[in-house]
Amino acid sequence: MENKKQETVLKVEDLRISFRAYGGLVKAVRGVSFDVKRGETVAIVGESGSGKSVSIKAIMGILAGNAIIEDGRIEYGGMDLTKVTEEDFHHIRGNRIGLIFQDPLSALNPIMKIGKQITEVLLINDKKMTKEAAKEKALELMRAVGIPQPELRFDQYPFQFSGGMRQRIVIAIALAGDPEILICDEPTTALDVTVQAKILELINKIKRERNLSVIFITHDLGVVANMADRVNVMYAGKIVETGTSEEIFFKPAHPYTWALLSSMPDLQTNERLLAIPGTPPNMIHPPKGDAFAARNRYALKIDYEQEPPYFKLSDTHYAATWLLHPKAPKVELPAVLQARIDRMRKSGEIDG
Amino acid sequence: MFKYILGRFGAMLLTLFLVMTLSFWIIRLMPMSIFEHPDVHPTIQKMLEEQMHLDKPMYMQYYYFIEGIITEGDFGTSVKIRPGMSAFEIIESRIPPTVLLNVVSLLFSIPMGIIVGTIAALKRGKWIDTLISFLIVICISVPSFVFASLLQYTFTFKLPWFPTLYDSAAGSFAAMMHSLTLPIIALALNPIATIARYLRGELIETLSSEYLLLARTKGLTRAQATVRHAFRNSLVPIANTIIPLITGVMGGSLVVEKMFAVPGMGGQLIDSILAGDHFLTVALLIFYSAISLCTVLIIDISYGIIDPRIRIGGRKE
Repeated sequence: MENKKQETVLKVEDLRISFRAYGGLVKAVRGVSFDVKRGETVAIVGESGSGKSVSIKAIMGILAGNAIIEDGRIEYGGMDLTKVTEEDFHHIRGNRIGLIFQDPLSALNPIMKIGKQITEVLLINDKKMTKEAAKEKALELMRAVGIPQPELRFDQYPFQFSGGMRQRIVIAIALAGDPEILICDEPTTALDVTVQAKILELINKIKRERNLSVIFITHDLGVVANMADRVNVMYAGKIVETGTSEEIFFKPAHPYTWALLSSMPDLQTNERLLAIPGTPPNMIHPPKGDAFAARNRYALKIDYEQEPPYFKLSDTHYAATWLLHPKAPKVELPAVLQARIDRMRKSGEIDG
Repeated sequence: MFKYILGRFGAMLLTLFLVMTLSFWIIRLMPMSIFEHPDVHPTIQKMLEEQMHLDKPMYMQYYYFIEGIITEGDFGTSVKIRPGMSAFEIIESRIPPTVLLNVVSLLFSIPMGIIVGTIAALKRGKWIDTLISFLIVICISVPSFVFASLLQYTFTFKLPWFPTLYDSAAGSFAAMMHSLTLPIIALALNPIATIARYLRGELIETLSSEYLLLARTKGLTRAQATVRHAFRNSLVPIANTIIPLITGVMGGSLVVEKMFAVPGMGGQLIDSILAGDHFLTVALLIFYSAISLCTVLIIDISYGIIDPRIRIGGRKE
């Protein structure tokens, strides 16, 4: 599917971010590494509070004031984005990296005309552009993201748009700076299911047309299946499993990935949806050992004592679980999940 | 937009009519005849009462009162303070200092409050924010007449920079303003603090909003994003707090006018109530409400200008 010799656009290495809070330092991101190649979609999957949004906010340089980047590098275009000052960062944002927000209802300025919100990006990033040229370009972008009657819509306000249309505007704004990386932070979570599919389709179309690299943040594995080339599964501030889409969906190795896959709604069975027991750990005092151990049916004694390293499954597939250690007891995939994977494989073969 | 203004204007007229009715009934239903006095001969009293329709039932008096206002613009006649003089004339001569005092206090306090609130929001958590918050609490909780006394003591007695009392002989506008400086400051402190407090809260909230993040991902600097996106959005709820401030300032000016001997409507209102000059009291109440309603109308209109949702919201799309 993808060319192995593709150029790496963005490389995140051992990123560690904490937040100052009343109880102490909340360790939101604890050593995350991943890379993004040109023209590919990398998904970061995890439940709320797993640190996925924080990681991408660090890439955009829009972390909240109480966040501290403790360690790590974000390599982009020969720079380390963790070291770039606020004064220089605004040239990178908008121009090179675009961001699509989770909630289009609150991402647009409620009292500024839609057109102005798009042209603003163009005018700020290209000092020579005239207002007329910016308007032309904005209308073109609005057409590209599928806004009907862009001339009329140009002079309207966000409250006159539906949720899906607003998300298209947010995408248009992200594209206006002609970025090479598009970061989507749960872009469909706040939308209707029918609208979701259309927005995902639009993101895929734009990605192909412009040869963009996409970082796709979501908690919904169902969405990932249709979008991503590679998937990083995050839990408690760490990537616990990484691999290509096929590897994650058909050969998952980490119990957390198993749990996520089992908790996906499935139209073909009447089984009860499996929830993951317990709640994510308190990140002020991250547990010793494997953070997922307390919620893990397959946890071993060592999981409570020592953090598992990454075990290599293939060139692209790694997972951090002691179950992969040669001395670990053999654990079979849960039967429900195995049945589900078989079904997915079958439907995948029919589709593909 | 025109429809919106028309609607607001209609609502204002209706409110004014209700104020007229209420103040008429409340003041005029007070016991005791206006002309009852040991020095007034009963026949003269009866004659005067007949002339002013006071012998008629209350609802007829109300009818004459409303008829007089609508047909002749007659708000009644003063009987005690300036016997025989029409209330309208008295008010006419009293309006300039009152309007000047109230409107200038408000116009001065709005930008001041915005500046102070913005500084506090942008320097959130720093010493300057703490200092401003401390001053805000003082200015909100201490009534304006206390500030009036303190200002009089400090800037007229200790440091004779301003006149203690209003100089009614002041010819030029500048001289008038000079003698009004202290009452204006006394009245403005509370609104400044109120606006600053609200704006600080609003701005802090807008500064952490998603659309401000989006604005920054567009490549705007922090300052650009604050000015273009955060500021105007924070002003929307502020417009709402200004309306109660107007009534607050007008109420405060009642006392402050008296303290600085400003020959305005406030002092006259207190005098007329104490003297039992009911006709004049009702007329003054109506004009007082009219002034504050006009300011409310201006705020309502500017609200529509700031927030498109108000302007366009009424229209069906």
